[in-house]
Amino acid sequence: MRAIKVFTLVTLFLLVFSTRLFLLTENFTDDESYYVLRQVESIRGRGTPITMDPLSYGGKYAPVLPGHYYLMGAVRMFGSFFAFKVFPAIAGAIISIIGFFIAMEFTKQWKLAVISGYFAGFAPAFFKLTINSINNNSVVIALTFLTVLYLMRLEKTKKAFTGLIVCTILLTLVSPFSLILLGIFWVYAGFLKLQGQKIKQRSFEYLLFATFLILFINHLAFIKLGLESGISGIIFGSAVHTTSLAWIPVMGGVNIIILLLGVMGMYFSVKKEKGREGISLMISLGIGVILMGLFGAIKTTEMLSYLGIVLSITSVNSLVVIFDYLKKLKFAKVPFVLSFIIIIMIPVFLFGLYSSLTKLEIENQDIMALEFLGTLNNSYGATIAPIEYGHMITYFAKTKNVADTNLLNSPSHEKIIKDIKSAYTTSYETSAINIFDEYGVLYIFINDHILKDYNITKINYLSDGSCFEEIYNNGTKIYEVKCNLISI
Amino acid sequence: MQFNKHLARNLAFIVLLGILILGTVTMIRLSNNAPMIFGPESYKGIRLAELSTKVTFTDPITNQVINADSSLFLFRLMKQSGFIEIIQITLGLLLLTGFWGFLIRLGTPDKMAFISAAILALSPGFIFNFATPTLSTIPLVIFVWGLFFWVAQGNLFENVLGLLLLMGVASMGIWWAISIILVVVGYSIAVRIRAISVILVLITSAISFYFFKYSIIFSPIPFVEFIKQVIFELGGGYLSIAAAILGLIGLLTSWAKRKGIMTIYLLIILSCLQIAIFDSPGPILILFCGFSGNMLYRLFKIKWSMPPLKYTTYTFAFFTIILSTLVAVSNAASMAPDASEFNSLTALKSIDANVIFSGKEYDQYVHTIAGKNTVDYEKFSNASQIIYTSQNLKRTIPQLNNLNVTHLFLPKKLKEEYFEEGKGLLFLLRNNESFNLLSDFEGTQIWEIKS
Repeated sequence: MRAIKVFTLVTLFLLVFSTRLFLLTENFTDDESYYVLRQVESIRGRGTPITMDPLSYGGKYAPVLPGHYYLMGAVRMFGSFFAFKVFPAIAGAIISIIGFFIAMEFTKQWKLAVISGYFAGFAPAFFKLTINSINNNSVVIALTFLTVLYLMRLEKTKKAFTGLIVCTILLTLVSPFSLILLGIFWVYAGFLKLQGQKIKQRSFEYLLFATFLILFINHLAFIKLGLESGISGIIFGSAVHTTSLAWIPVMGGVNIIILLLGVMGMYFSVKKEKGREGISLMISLGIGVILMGLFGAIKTTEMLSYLGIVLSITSVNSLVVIFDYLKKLKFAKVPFVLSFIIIIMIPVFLFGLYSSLTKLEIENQDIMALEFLGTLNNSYGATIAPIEYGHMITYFAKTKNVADTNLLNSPSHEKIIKDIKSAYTTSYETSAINIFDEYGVLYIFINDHILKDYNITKINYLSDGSCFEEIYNNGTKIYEVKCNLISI
Repeated sequence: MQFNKHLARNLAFIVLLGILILGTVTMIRLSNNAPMIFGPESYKGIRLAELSTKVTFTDPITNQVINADSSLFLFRLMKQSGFIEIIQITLGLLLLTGFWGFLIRLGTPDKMAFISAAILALSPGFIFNFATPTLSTIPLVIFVWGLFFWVAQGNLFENVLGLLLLMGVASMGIWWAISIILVVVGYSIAVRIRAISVILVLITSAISFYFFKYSIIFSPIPFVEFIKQVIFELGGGYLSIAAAILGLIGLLTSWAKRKGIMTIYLLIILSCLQIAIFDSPGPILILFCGFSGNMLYRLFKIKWSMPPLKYTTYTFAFFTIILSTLVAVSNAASMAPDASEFNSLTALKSIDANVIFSGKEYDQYVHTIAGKNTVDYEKFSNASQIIYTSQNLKRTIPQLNNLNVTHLFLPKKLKEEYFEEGKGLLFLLRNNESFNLLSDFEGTQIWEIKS
């Protein structure tokens, strides 16, 4: 029996892993990966990550938690560039195994727990977020759920203690998300209290330990940020605040099947009289990430990734009820159960696949254009592009950007995003040059996606040849700004 | 309360800790020749205190009509005494000892009272209110000592003295009046009926409401801003995040005894409302350290099932609290004005100037030290932005003229923070025909606008 279980889990892991490998493309699908590349190169060159970034936002102090960059640096050191891309795929695929083990905390029916693990492995938003990317999300999400698993097991086995401590330390070193998870754990403790239950002693001791460990490490890492940012700056400074809970993206990001089964699973578990600790933890995690998403501390896709995995895990409770019911039916035959499984499992797989295919790969022509900029060796002027191109500019062109997605210690990003949009959409040359003056812009980066996103076909003021010169065009264009407000 | 050797040792340690914390800030500022009074709150308090010769007065700089209360008059006396620096540190030590004594009088175990007072001494709120005087400094000390005397059992003299002090605090602002009513009424309901105290405090508050024309302005602030003001967060606020979390756990776990401490819950809620909805300081929040001490004490007493975690948790808790204290001390020591800014502002005082352009964070210093008016940076944010960033004289000068700006006050820190080297306004200052450098104290400059 044990061999069958191991075989099934290995198969599940390989299925998710190979799907992720199959979807790998030449370039990354998000520009944050290029920030990781810069950090890894800095670690390989100097031994330390970049904290005083001369290129981000025209130059700013941006401290980091270095865990992920050292980890990726180690992977790069011992493997090829391909290994570099495979590692996040492994971390991403492991979530299906972690999902299985957490689901096993709710039921003894391991076959149903495998289905939950499968759902977690193919949760659409998580797939979309982590495919073809070396950002820290796959590692952070895997560590978060591993921490949750060990916390659930803490009262049952002594081995969980070591695992829990190691995971907490690693997560703290990798991402400020540990601060959010800490808040979620305390919400969980409050949740238990509201239900008239007492948090067990080991869990309470762990919570106290984790609280001061996480606060101390984050204090230490971000201490120089000072008054301007603080803890909320650390939490809220890592995402662009654009989260909304529109129904269609939520259902698409979580997957309607997982959403329904997961919510039903929560309901069935809450109704139980005993053993509600696990479901309370899952609900706290779900509520916590939704709130953080709404407050803008995490991006929508990150929020939906966590939510998708939480609901995948709690769906096991629905599956238990459904399969118990099916067993009682007269026509409950193996083919019927199998077809039920297939009807559910195939769409989940297809949803996951589809979501990752909707994520566009960064195009070669954009990279070539930016590499051309890099050959100009310009260290004083900045290149203007929408915020989602910021890290690509600093990595390939090695010039200053006007803005990027690392908002920590950045100037008012809302104003900057508005100014960038105005620079592309205004019809008035003086307005544009005013913005270029303010941010020290020397180059304008334009491609079809940017024009489409801003709903324009061309930038009118670029026709003034005396002020703007097209210096590169391969579909993606680069213009050099030759005037300032004093000269016009 | 039996005052024994053990308690005396605890008290001495708390006083020493207070001297160490406040003394460190003082010594660092002295060694940098920086003025002993720092921070916008202190200078705002000084200016208002100097103007408060009668109950209602008009601020000549901002043209606001202000109603004084007795805290402003006491602040004025403190300033006029000429020993303001010594008085503020003495008041800090009085707060610590009063708080410790109050906890002991309530029957708190020795160690718990000691830990709570020590956390108070290490809290950023204590540092920012007692290393430099603010409008909350005097009321806080009188409030704590009022409570200390008022809760004494079987000592009429102390009870009367306590009541008088609490009545005095009720005349120090609307929020203090509401807080005192809450304390007296809450104590009477939950612990022991004190009808005379309730009546006298209500009468004093009513008179104060009438005499000082108490009013509140509804001015809600964003949630994140509220958190930033309450929790120290690596820089400002009342509580270090470790003390805040310990206090919150202590508060939640004390819920079973909620009847006896309901007043404290209400005071905390009131202070939070003060900050969140009325954008007013809530200094009573620093007394929340009582709950932090309570929890830390219980942490020591808990029998841990996982011993390795015990000492690691203590170590992290200790260092997290200390880290906040160190940052608070360092921020307080380097807070504006420094020596060069103070000298420049003193020089600016003797210059005939209309409106001064600088940075929003220097408003209170320009108003108080130089006695000059400044630009309303929020109202004229676009114009200010143009002045900071534009490199075109034809755009900058008209904006300066429109705002009636005659002089620029540019501290070294402001130049580093607001401008890229040699860009924006700094670039334009090279033009001798439009700007004239009047003084330069170690990088802090005063410029006159010629046209």
